[in-house]
Amino acid sequence: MMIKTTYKAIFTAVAMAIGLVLLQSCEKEITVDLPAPDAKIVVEGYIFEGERPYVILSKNAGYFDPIDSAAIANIFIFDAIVTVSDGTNTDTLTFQPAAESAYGFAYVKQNPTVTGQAGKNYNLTVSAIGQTVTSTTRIIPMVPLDSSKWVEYEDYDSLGYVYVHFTDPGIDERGYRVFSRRVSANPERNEPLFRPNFYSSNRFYKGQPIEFGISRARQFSDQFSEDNPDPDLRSYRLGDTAQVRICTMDLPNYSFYNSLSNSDNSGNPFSAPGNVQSNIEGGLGCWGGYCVNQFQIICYP
Amino acid sequence: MTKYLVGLILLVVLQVPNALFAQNFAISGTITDAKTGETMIGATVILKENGKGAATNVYGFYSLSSEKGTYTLVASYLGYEDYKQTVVLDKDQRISIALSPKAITTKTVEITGERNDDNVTKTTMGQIKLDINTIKNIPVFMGEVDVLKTIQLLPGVKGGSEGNAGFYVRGGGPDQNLILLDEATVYNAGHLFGFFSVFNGDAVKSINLIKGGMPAQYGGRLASVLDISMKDGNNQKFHGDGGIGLIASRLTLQGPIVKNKASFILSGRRTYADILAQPFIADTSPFKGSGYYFYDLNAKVNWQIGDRDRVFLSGYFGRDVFTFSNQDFGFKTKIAWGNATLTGRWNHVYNDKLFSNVSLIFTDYKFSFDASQAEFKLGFYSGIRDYNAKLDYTWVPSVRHNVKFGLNYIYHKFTPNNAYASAGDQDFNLGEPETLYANEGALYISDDFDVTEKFSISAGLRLSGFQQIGPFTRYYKDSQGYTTDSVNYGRGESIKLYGGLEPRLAVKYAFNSKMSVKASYTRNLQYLHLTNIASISLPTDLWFPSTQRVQPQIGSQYSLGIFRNFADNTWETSVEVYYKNMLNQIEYKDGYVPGASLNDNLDNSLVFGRGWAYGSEFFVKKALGKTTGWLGYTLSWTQRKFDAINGGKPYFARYDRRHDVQFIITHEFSPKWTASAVWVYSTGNALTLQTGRYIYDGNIVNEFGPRNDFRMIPYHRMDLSVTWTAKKTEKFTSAWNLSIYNVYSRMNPYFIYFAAEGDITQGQIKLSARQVSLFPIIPAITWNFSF
Repeated sequence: MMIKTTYKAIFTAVAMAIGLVLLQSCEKEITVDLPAPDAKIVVEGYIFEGERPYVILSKNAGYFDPIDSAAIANIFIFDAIVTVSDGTNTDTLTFQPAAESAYGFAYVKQNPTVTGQAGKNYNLTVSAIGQTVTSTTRIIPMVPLDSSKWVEYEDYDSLGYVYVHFTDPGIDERGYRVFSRRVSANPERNEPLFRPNFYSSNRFYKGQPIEFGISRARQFSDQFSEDNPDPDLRSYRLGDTAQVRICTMDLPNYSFYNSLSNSDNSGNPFSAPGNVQSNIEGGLGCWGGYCVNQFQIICYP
Repeated sequence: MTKYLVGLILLVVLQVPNALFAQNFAISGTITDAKTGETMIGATVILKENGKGAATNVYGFYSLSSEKGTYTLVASYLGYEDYKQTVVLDKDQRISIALSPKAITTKTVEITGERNDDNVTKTTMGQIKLDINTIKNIPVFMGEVDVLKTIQLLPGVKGGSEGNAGFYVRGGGPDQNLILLDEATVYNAGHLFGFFSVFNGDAVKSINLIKGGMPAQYGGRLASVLDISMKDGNNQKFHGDGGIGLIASRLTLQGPIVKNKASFILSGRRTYADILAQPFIADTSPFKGSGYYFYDLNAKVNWQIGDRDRVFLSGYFGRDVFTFSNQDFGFKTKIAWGNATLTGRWNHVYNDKLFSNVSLIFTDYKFSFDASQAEFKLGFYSGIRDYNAKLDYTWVPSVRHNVKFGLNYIYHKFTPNNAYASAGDQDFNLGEPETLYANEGALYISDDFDVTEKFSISAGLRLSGFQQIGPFTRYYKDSQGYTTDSVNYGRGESIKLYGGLEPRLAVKYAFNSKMSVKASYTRNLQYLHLTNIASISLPTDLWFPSTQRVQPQIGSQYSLGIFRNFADNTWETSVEVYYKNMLNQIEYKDGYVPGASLNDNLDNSLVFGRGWAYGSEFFVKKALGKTTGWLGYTLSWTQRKFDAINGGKPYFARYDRRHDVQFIITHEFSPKWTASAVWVYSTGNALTLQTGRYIYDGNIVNEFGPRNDFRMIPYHRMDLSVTWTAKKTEKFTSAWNLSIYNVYSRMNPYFIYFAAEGDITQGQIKLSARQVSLFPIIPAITWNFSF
C-alpha cells in the first residue's frame, strides 16, 4: 500500500510540478472519433469460503455511448450459461435475485453442490453473446487473527477505526482484501453488505506480523460521495458494531484489483495507457476466490 | 558482410608498407583560433598543388602526407581568414596554425563550420556539425539558447512533445541517442521535465550529430551520436560572457593560466523564477516553501605540455530542484535530479602520423524524491553511475588513409528502483535495494580510405561485449506472477554475457566536386535500455542494463543519399533514404503498476518486441551570403511489433511522424541587426485512447483501444527573433535578443484527456474529450554581453 502510494505521489508531484510551471496552459473541448471496441463479456464473480459462488455478467460499451439508466440496464447479460466447478462437482448458475450481490441479482444456484473451501481451485465457464470465457481461481487458506481493537481518532471526538493485527504465514505469495460493514438495530445505520476497504500484497511483509486500521467501507449507495468531507462517512463511531472480513486472494485476483486502482487515469501523459489485468480468458473482469476470517467488534476503547 | 570487412582491413594493413616505402612525408599539427587559442574542430588543411587535404579532429589535430616537393599549404575554416604558407616537404614536420576571425562581419551567420563542399566530398553521411554561433541566432524559447532544440530543426530529427528538448532520430527511441559532453555520457539531457536542455550554450564549442553511418569509434546506441565539445578556455586573454534572460542568467569566465600554455573556463547558469516569486508568496501562504529552480556548472582546464602533450580536465554538474509544501497539511515534497560528469584527458602526439587520446570519465545521474508529513517520511531514488576508460588512436599512414582504433571499458552501476519509508524512529523494511552491476567493453578499428579521387570507403569494425555481474538476486516468475525460483549471485560473479560484432561501412562516389552519391550500412548493439512508463520523457525514466531476461538491442541501418551543390557551394541539396531494423525493444507489460522491486526484478514487468523505421529526408540549405537558412522535409514511418501488446499486431511508435517540415531563415541586415525565423510542421503524435467502458462493482472502468491508434492534430508553429548588437568594441560587446515563440499562437495539443461530468446514480454522465495546450505566444528578451 505504502509503496504504491509513494509511486502515485511521485507521479502526482511531477504532474503538479509541471502544472505549476506551465501556468499558461489552456484547454478546450475537442471532438474525437473513437472506434467501437470489440464486444466482450465482463465477469464480476466471487466465491467466498463457506458460501455459494455468485457471478454478475455485463458487456462493455463504446466510450461515448450514453450512460443513462436504460443503457445501464442494457449492459447486463441475463441469458448466459454459467457453470462453476471445483473439479468434482459442477453447478450451473442461473440469473435470479441474490442478496449477496451489490446489484441485488446475480447468477447463483439455490441448493449449491459447489461452495467455497480453503485450498481448492474453482473453474468458471461463461457462454454469452456468442462467446465463451473461462477462468480459474484458488481459495488460499487463511491465518488466525492475533488481535483487534477500536481506536479513537485524536482529532475527532467519538470517531475511530478498527485496528487489526495478524502474522502472515510466509508460506506463499498472496494478497489480502479486507471488507467490512456496520451492523445496527437502527435500520438507517445497518449496512446489508460487506464492502471492500482495501487490498494488499504480502510481498512487503511475507512471514511477518502486519497491522492495519480499517475505516468504514463505503457502501454501494454512498460510493459517489468521494468529495463529501464528513468524517462520519469514513469512521466507525463509538458504540457502533463493525463486522470485518479479512480475506486471502491468489495473485491473479490481487493483480486485477491492483491494476484496477491504477487504471483511473484519463489519458494524461504522465501515466501509461494500461488495461486492467484481468484473469478472465477472452473477457474482462475478475473471478476471485476468498478465504474468510470474519469477526465482530463493538466500538469501545 | 563481416568477410568483406576483414578483407578490407587486410587491404588497409597491406597498404601500410607501401606508405612506408614511398617517398612520402607528413605534415601535422593543431589549428587554433588566434584570438582565443581554442582548438578548431573540422578546420581543413589542403596542399594547393595536388589537392591533398585533411581536417582537424575533435582535438584540433590534423595530419596529412604527400610526396617530396614544394607546396602551398592552405588552412581554412568558415568565418576565418585563410592561412597560406609555403612548405618545402623533404622531411616530416609539425606546422601548427592559428586562424584569425574575419574582421568585416562582427556577427558571422554562417550555418556551419564545414568546408563548403564537405557535404559532397566527405564519405560520411547523416552527419551534421553545428557551430554554436548558428544556434545563438535561431529564435529561442523563453530566451534560453538551447542546443537540443536546434538539433530538432534538422531533417530526420524529431522533437518530443511541445517544448520538450528530447529528440528522436530516424525512428529511434529517446534512449537510442548517445549524448556526449566532452566524451562523458549524459543520461538525462533535460532540465525542467525536458523543457530545457542541460547544455549551456556559452560553454559549448561545437556540436556534431551523427544520425546515420555511425563510425566505429562510437557505440552503445542504435540511433545517433550527439557529440558536444566544451570550450577549452581562452589562452590569450581573460574574457567574460554573460546574459540576463527571462528565466535564467548566465556567466562565463575564461582566460589563460599561463599564456599560450594553459587556460580555464568556468560557466554557470541558474534559473530564478523561484527567487523572483518569493516576495509574492506571503509567509502565511499554505504553499510557502514551494519553488523550482535548476542550475548548471561547467568547468574545464587544459594545459599544453610541450609540443606533443596536452591534458584536459573538464566537468559538468547540474541539478533541478523542485519543492512543494502545503503548510495546511504539514506536507513537504522535494524532487531533485541531475547529472554530474568528470572527464580527464591526455592527448599525445607520438609522431606526425600517430595521435592518441586517453580518457578517464565519470558519469552520474540521480533522481530523488522525498516526502514528509508530520513524522512520516518516504522517498524514492534511482540512478546510474559509470566509470569509463577510453584509449583512442588516430593514425594517418598515408594521405589516402585515416585509421582510428581504440578500446573502451565501462563499469556500470544501476539503481533503478528504490524506496524507503519511516514513521518517527521506526523504519519500514522495504527490502534490499535492487542494484545491478555490469561491465561493458569494446574494441574498434576503422579506416577512411580514398581509393581513387572519386571513390572512397569508410569501413570499421567494432567488437563489443557486456556482462551483468553480481551481487544480484534473480527471481523467476510464472505467468500468474508467482515466484517459481530465485538464484543469488555473489559479488563479481558473472550472470550473463553478451557480445557481438558491429560492422560499419560507408562508400562514396563523387561525380565531381559538386555531386556525389553515398551509401552506408551500420550494425549497432545497445546494452542499455530506458524504461519509461509515461508517454513523455520524465526524470523518473529508468535506465536498465541487459540481463538474463533483457537482451541487447540490435539495430541495423541502411541508407543511401545523393548530394549536389549549386552556385559555387552557395546552395547545398541532398536526398537521403534509410531503412532501419531494431531488435529486442522493450515496453512495460499491459497493466503494469509501478512499485518497489522487493522480491522481484524490474525486468519481470517488461515485454519484448521489434521495431522498424524507414523514410526519406530532403534538405536544401543556403550556406553563404547575407541570407542563410535551410528547408528540410522528412517523410517517414516507424512501427513496432510486440507479441504481448496490441494483440501481436504491428503498431505505430508514439513518435511516428508521417511528415516533418523545418524551415529556418536568417538574414543579416547590417552588422548590428540580424533577424531569423523558424517554421516547423509535423504530423500529430500517435497515442492510445480509451475506446470502451465497462462497469465493475459500480465503478466505470476504461478499456483502452488499439495501441497508438489515435492521432492528435498536426503540430505547427512559427518563431521569430531579432538580435541587435548595441555596442561592439574590443573591450565590451552588448547585444539584445528578442524572441517570439509561437508567433501566431497556435494551440498545439500537448495531451488529450476525457472529463466526466454528472452523477452515475442519477443516470446522467456527460463525457467529453479535452485537449490541453501548453504555450501560446511567448515573447522573451535577453541581454547578452561579453568583455
